[in-house]
Amino acid sequence: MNISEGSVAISGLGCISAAGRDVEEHLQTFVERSIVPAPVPGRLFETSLPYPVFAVGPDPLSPWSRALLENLQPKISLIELSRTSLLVLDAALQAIRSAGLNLDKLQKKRVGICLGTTVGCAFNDEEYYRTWRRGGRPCAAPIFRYLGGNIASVLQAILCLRGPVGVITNACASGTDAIGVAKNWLNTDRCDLVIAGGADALSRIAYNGFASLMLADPDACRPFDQSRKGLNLGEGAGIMVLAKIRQDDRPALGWVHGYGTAADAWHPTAPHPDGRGLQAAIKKAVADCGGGIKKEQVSLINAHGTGTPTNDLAETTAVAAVFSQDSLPPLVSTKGFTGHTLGAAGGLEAIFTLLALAAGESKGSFRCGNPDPTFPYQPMSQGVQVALNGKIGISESLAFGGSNSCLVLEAAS
Amino acid sequence: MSDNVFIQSIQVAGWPLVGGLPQQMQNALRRADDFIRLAVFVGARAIESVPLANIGPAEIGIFLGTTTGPLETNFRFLDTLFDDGEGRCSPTLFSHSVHNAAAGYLARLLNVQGQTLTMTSFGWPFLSALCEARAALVKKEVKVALVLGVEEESPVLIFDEGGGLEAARACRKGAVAWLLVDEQTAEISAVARLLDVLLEEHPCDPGFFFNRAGELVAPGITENCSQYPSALQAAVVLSKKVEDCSLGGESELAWGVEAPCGKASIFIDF
Amino acid sequence: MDDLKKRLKEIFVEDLKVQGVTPDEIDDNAPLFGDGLGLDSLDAVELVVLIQKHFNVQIANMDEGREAFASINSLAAYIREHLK
Repeated sequence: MNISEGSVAISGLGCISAAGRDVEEHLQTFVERSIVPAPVPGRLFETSLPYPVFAVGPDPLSPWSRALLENLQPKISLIELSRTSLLVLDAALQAIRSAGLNLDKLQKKRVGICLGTTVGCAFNDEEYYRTWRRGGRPCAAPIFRYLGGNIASVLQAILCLRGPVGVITNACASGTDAIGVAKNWLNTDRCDLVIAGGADALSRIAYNGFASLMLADPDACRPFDQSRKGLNLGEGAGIMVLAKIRQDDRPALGWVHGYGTAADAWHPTAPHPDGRGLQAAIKKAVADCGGGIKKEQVSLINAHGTGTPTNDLAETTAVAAVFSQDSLPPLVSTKGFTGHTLGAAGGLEAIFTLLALAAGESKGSFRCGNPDPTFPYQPMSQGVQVALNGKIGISESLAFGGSNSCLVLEAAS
Repeated sequence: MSDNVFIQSIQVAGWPLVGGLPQQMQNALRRADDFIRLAVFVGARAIESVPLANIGPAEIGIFLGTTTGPLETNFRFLDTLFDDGEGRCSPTLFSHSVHNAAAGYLARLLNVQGQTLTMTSFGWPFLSALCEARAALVKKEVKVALVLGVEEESPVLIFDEGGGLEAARACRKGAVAWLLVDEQTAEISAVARLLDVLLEEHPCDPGFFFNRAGELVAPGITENCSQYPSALQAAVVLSKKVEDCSLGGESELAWGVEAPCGKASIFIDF
Repeated sequence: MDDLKKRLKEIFVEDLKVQGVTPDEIDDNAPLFGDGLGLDSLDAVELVVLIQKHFNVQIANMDEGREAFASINSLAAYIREHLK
């Protein structure tokens, strides 16, 4: 344990993505290593484009979550909720259960909600807009669904919680930033617990956007591989229950020790070629651990690793610049299992980092057969099994707009 | 070191922008939408108020709050999707429709390399951003924090009482920027000291966010703020009130806003 | 001046919003990216969409694009070659 003044405890985890409906299913997928992306399911949206995606099943809510929610008789009808909100709800309920909490207990505490998303806060009702554009009078219901659909407010309303709420919209780094901001809330006593993480559902808009940016791979994505052609989009939610560290608490699953974030100040969509902002973010995240942790103690880096040519190059360049050649932590991308889940990625991957650290081993970047030899830092290729030499790791996120954010996490022994 | 946080500058702008954007930024802004132009306009003016010679780019942060983000750009992207079809929609519009596009532009144009945080909520996103910015200064994460509220209304989302489209109402745009600095960086010209920001939000009927009827601010100002987007009006009133009190030689200000979505209190002294 | 090149230059000014030049002032052989017109990677993908929209010519990937996007001359030649 390397607890410092700013460390916060991770007391519960919840995740949902194409790779699984809960933590156990994700662990199984990571072992089996057979998941592949599929054409966009027609129930989500129709498309003529060839890019496969990592989709969650038709109902984001598990039967257990659905039963629990129906029992709560929330004021907001579940039918009214966006797919992103349903993903949030399912992962949040898992995390609350995993923290050994029930809603009665939660409602007596000051519980913050800090979530990252991209699609989850956009007004993207195509039918409404199509009608409006034709000069028609569309039904106003989608507007009210949008105005009532802020994912943090929805969670607050359904679970009847009180405490600070925030939705971070830092594009693809949002989930990581939400956990970092949540840590700050606990450090400054704005609340006792925070439900923090990220969520995003697949959308036709983002799908077409990434296709037009020529960042989507028509085959399964191959992060860090020499033959990589781009990313596959995915959907999901990764949520943690974070708490202040207290002596009398039940043992934590792990800790968030540090958060660092920095801007590239470079370009709307392209990362700085040297990963300038990412280098600064890694250093700041380690410094945020209050001197208790040195970068030499980092035994795993969960990369953003989207599989786009520029991201993977900038990211390995930044990591090579920060870590000396004699202390190279294994660098792994998990996006081959989930696709790029945008605002959810930071939440999901903080959890994946913690799970790998807890297991004490990493099996390399899925579908990276031949790491690109031009990288200044060689990520772990598929099938290489490495025993990790410690319990401390870093989760990285990069985003449009040049945001770079990192978390330093530790798994309990 | 002290935890004092000072308000160095306050900028408020409606649309169209009066005075325009700096000439040297024109090329970098060639793709920028109105939302970005608003943010850059108030942001650049706010940051000019303090000499940054001794401040590193990594010691400056940006905290931007918005209710809907660049909605019009979102719809322009949909236009290209509907009109030109899949595979032919504009990647530029897509990349500019993300809510943090404006913060990204500000970071690039003002060479800000510290924390950049964009927050989206329907309540008081400027105050949410203000709260995080103040915390970042107290934590010594940054020495200078540019805090923005940027709003644009869209004709697509405006309805009349009967639930039909309200064509008459003009769509408003506006932005507010505050430059917060730590004690070491504060100039003698600082407007005020920001003592605390307390924000308490809770769920409410989404109908409130439609026209924000019943939002109460106190103390208010005599100036009419109806040219600003309704979601920005509380931030505009607060900004103008702080400026008024500063000019009027007041010693302190306790300002509050209350609505079905919660309440907020801001404590300032001069 | 040939119509295709004229049209392309208009696209650079109107759609890509290149600043400080009129279509007539763009040199047929000047580099479009980097130091030339100062275009970047986002303009490149926008240009792919614009070429497809205006001429129904598809640039499948950036390896093809890089060659075509060298100058107005090379882009016009690429479009002529691939016009359906």
